Amino acid sequence: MNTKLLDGNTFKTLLINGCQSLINDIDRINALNVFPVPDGDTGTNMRLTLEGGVKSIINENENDLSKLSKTLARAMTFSARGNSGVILSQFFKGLSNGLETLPKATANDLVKAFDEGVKQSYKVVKRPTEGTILTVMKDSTNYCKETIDENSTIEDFFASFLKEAHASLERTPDLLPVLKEAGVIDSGGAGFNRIIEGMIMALDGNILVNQEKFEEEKAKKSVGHFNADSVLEYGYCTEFILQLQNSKVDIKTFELKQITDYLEKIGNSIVAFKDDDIVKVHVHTFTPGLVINFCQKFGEYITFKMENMSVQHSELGIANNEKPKEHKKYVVIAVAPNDNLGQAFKDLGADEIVFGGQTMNPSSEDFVEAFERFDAENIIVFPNNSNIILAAQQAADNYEKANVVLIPTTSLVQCYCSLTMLDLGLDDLDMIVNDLTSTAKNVISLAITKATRNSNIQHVDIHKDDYIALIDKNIVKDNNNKINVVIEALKTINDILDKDVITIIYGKDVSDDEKQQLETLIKQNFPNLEIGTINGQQDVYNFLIAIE
Amino acid sequence: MEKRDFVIVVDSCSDLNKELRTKNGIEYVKMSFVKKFADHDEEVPASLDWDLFTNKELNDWQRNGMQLKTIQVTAEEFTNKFTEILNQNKDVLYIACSSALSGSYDYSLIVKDELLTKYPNAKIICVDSLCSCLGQGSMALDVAKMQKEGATIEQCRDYLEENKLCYNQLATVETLDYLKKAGRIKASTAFFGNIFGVKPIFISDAIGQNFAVKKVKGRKNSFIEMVNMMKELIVEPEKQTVYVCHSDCLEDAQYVKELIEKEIKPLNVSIEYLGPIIGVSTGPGTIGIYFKGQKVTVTGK
Repeated sequence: MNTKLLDGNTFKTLLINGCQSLINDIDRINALNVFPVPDGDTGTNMRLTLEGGVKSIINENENDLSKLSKTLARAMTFSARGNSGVILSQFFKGLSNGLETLPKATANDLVKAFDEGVKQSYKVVKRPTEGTILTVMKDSTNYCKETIDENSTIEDFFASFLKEAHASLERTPDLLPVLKEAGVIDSGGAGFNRIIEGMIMALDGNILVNQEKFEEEKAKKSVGHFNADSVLEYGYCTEFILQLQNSKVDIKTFELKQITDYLEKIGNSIVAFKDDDIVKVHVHTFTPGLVINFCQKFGEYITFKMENMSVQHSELGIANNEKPKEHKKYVVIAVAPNDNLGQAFKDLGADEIVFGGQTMNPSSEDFVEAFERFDAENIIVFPNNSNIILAAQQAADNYEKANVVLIPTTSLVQCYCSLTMLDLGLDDLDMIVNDLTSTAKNVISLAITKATRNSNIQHVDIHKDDYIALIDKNIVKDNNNKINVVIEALKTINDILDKDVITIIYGKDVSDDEKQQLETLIKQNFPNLEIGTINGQQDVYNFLIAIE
Repeated sequence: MEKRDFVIVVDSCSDLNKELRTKNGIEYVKMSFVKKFADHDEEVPASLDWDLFTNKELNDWQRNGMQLKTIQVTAEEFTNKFTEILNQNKDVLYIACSSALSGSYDYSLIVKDELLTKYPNAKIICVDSLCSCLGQGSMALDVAKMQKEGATIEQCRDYLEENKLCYNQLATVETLDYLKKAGRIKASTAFFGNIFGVKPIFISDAIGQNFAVKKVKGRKNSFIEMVNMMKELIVEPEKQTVYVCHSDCLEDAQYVKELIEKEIKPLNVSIEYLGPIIGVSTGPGTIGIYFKGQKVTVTGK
């Protein structure tokens, strides 16, 4: 094929194929993790980001390339999650800027537009790191500047681009020592190349998935977090509207309590309204079947909606649609991976929890939805993960109804410690934020988990299945005992004997004996530390620890 | 008419030691506290003389988990003490612990009305100090000085009513458990959720409540911050004695004293014990600083 001009419809076909190409290789990309920790999710993040964009244009019959890419970029701004996802979304935003006024683009136009994409991508990261997806984007675009001229076809452009993209990706370990040590290439770059490969296949007529199939897959909404081996962790978000029936109850005297009393036994987060002869209910339960059967005693269902909360975390309950929004001067929103930690944050004054975490980065849209639940003047956001900060920032930048401030927390314990200093009584946003930020900065975070493979990182020999301690993302210790590794790691902190407080968030798989043991050892070794504990029940990390 | 003499009376909350009281002719009415045992309660008079128990004993009881409950001045105690004074043909100036913390002030008013029917020519003046510990104690010491210089009971009362909110308190506790148990602190739940390592600084506010005005991370930082705040609030430091009170944490009190001497240079810094009533409400490890400064205007909600 010798395509001289790229139009909207062709671009759409390329994108669908690019997205599918990424999906086909997602497990390998997720596994490209620097640390031997089971939390790689770059592939998933990029997929969800791109999918959000593709979904927005899939039913558009728009052959104008500039208009189509604008719609795409706008949607990706909100579906963006994870650092690579945010960078990808910004790449397409720059691309769309570069294509502005161009209903069709030549290869030369694409070089310019891709260059805009690169610039925009670099802009979104505060301290751009070479040896990442950014480098791959930049190198390939620069290469095309040399190889592409007015006679080049679209195929020439992409072939040239991919050739350098592969070479650049292979060079990433030379630029970024952590990659070399871990013996991996950059995961974001790898994902990006898969997308480009898919686009080239489409140009060659090698269609991986047709549009209908792609849409069908999306309708399943599976985001890969619930599979054949998953355990039902959160239950089902269950919502229904019930038409009370005269044949079943006396509607006038019917009390909602008859339903809510029962629901309290088998669920939580209950919100229920009765409006004449209609009952609307929202409940989280592990046994939605019981709900269906029980409530049918009083009437018949008008609708019944049920979602596995492990899959669909961004729920928009009835409550949020029906209740008038609460006006608040200050709203605090924090990211937490489960109810236990969410509750711990709420106890300290958080108003709303965005579910997510290391293995499940929330999107910008998830944040915007959380913002939307309030009529707020100021919103303070705790992203609690370095891979979530950008998506939260993107949401903040795109939200106009309130003043959104980010406390750039990179760990859950850091958030917890920072929240202990929350004092809205100061009634001065700068002072409030200053207290929170300075406290967060002062926190040393530790995370203890099991290594997923043998590895040598930062001169630490790591054995598969040993416990490793990460201090602010540096691996410091390896030990076959999860208690000892904590003590050893604490000893590596220079001024540990001048510190005041240790906060420990206990994960799953820590027994009461082990907790006791750990606390005793801490008291013995570091009598200066006041110990606080939270039952976080988090996955992956046995202990999340903060030192202040 | 012959000018009648008057006696300044405080209560167990004032934490004025024997020497200070005797030297200044100050009397006190005793509150008491109850030691809760599994099968019985034991009531102990809240003596300020450490004759019935030492400061360490009092704090060790609490550290070992014994429940202590404070009891306000009884009508009987008021009646006895006031009658004793009235029978000497003297009037009574009672400077009470903050009415936001204890019912003693309200009780004193009832006893006063009753006694005045019997002693129609006497004066019993009760002043709600809106403070406690050596905030309340310093007020008594200051009016005792005025008394020596010839001030009347009314002049002393007027001084107190005018100036009592200038007696500042800044305090911090090792743990919030005791204050929460005693219900003697004002703050929202979010402020005091389950927080580790946070050391609030609380003042005695404009209506005499203990009100947490600031959160500080770490005990040492809380001392430093208290002294910083004191620097802002204190008036004429070179003319006054500042009190650092502690419940069995002398080392910390000494640290704070040195910090104050270095940073603020008042006339004098005196270390005192937190007595049996305030100490029981705040628990071991409490440090309170008392000084004269700007008028307190904050009221906790």
